[in-house]
Amino acid sequence: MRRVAIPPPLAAVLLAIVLFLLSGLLPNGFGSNPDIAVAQATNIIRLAVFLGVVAAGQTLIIISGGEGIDLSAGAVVTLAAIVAYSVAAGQNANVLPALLAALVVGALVGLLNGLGVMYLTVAPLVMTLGMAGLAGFLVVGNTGVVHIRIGDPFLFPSIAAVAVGGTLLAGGKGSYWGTMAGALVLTLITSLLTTMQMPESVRRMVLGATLLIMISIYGRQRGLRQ
Amino acid sequence: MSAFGWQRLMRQNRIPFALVLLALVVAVNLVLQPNLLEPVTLNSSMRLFLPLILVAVGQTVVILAGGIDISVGAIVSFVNAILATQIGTKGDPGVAVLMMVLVLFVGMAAGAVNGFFVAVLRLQPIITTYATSFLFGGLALLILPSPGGGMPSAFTGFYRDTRPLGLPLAFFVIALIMLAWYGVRQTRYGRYLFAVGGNPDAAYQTGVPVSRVQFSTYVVSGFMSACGGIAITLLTGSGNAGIGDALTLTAITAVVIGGTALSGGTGTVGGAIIGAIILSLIPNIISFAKVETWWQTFLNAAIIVLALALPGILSLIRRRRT
Repeated sequence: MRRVAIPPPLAAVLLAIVLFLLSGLLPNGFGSNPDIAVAQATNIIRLAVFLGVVAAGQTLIIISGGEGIDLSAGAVVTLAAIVAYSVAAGQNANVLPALLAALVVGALVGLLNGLGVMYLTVAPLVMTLGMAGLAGFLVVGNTGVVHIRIGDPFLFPSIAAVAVGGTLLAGGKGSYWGTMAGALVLTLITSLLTTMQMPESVRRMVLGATLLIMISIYGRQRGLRQ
Repeated sequence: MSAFGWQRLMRQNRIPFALVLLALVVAVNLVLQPNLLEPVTLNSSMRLFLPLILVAVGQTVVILAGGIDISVGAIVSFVNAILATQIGTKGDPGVAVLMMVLVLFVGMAAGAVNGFFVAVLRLQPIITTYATSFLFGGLALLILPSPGGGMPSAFTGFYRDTRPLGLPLAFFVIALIMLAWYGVRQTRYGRYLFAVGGNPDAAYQTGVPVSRVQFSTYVVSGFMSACGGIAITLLTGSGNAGIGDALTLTAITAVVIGGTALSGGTGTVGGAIIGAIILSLIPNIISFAKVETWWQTFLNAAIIVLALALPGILSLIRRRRT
């Protein structure tokens, strides 16, 4: 079989363009109106930035290999958002301390993850899942509300964006350019599904299938027969 | 026993570590809840622990052969959603039995999907099963968008209150699993499992059908998750598309506490069962210790992280000494 010649980041960008044009063809899409199309594109990019930032960290972890993966990313987003919200307390003057506090809390969770993985040799998957649980409980403690999980929807797409961008999930190969393009693709898929008014169940299945297809293309490990 | 001998024992066989932990947890639990080992309390505890035990056993088989399955919770949810919607509280007993057999095949089919991507397409197990967990979890949510449905009370009553010879039903299930595991270990397949997990390249070169063995472990895991799904549905008597979510991490933790290496090749099913019981008793202890609700959940999460890190901490101390 011939090797795919197009580099993954470029393929992801092309995929994003195709998806965007497709979304325009929907009954409630932008159709042939260029102004709305530009506005919508801007909006998509704005939304993709959130995912791009979360996926940036995920890219670093996955590229460095050793089965590295951060499943606490979603819970950390939630925790940091709530810390920032409580410290800011609606006052402009508190914005800087609030941002600092959010960054410190995120870095602390990351530090514990790193210590656990590197020094206590806990598997990254287990360590970060455990920390996600801890961060989740801290959220509950701070708000008294169990179901605040604004960060959760970022976790799965952050990993999928890395895969779509062509970073090898076994580590050692990949780029942040690819992840940015991947974040764009995933944001487009999510917004397409939202425009089509798909229920949560279908959205999950489409996200799962996207990741499966992308890793089937890029993520094959070497065979046993050489 | 000298400290050196003790450490060597712990390193060679991690079951003693799990057994020591179990004894400790049971002792603490007995102090706080003196009737823990009385037949009725024991039964109500064991029926609660059984779903996790079943899922952890399947997970052990996958991890032994060098893989990991993080779709187990989603398979449990999927099975629970099927049973709760297709049977219902006023369901026909014949239909109920048929559906329970059917979901075993659903679980195996889900496992076969995992096995196909991991063993045939040679994708990374963590990421593959994470992706399929969204497929299975999505399917669960599709057929059961909001909690509901149920099981006939005759079935839930059977699961909750059957005590052959005065012992909890779960004990017999565990005995059956141990017996089956003992049997499997005597077979060639049993030896293949450990060979594939220990060193897949060497196993391949000595003629072990590596891909087929890896594939089979995911089918086993899917089957055990389906069993766990049946147990949890009989326990709760209702359906919830998110019911299995929490089981994934706990099952992996149970396997690790039970002395199975996440890198594959060494471990036991018995250890995972002990690990599952330990992990189920911890929330019990915390709730009897009368701490605030928030601290309960926090302590539970912290203890899990600590238990996972314990072998690492011990080896770190050992390295510092030498």
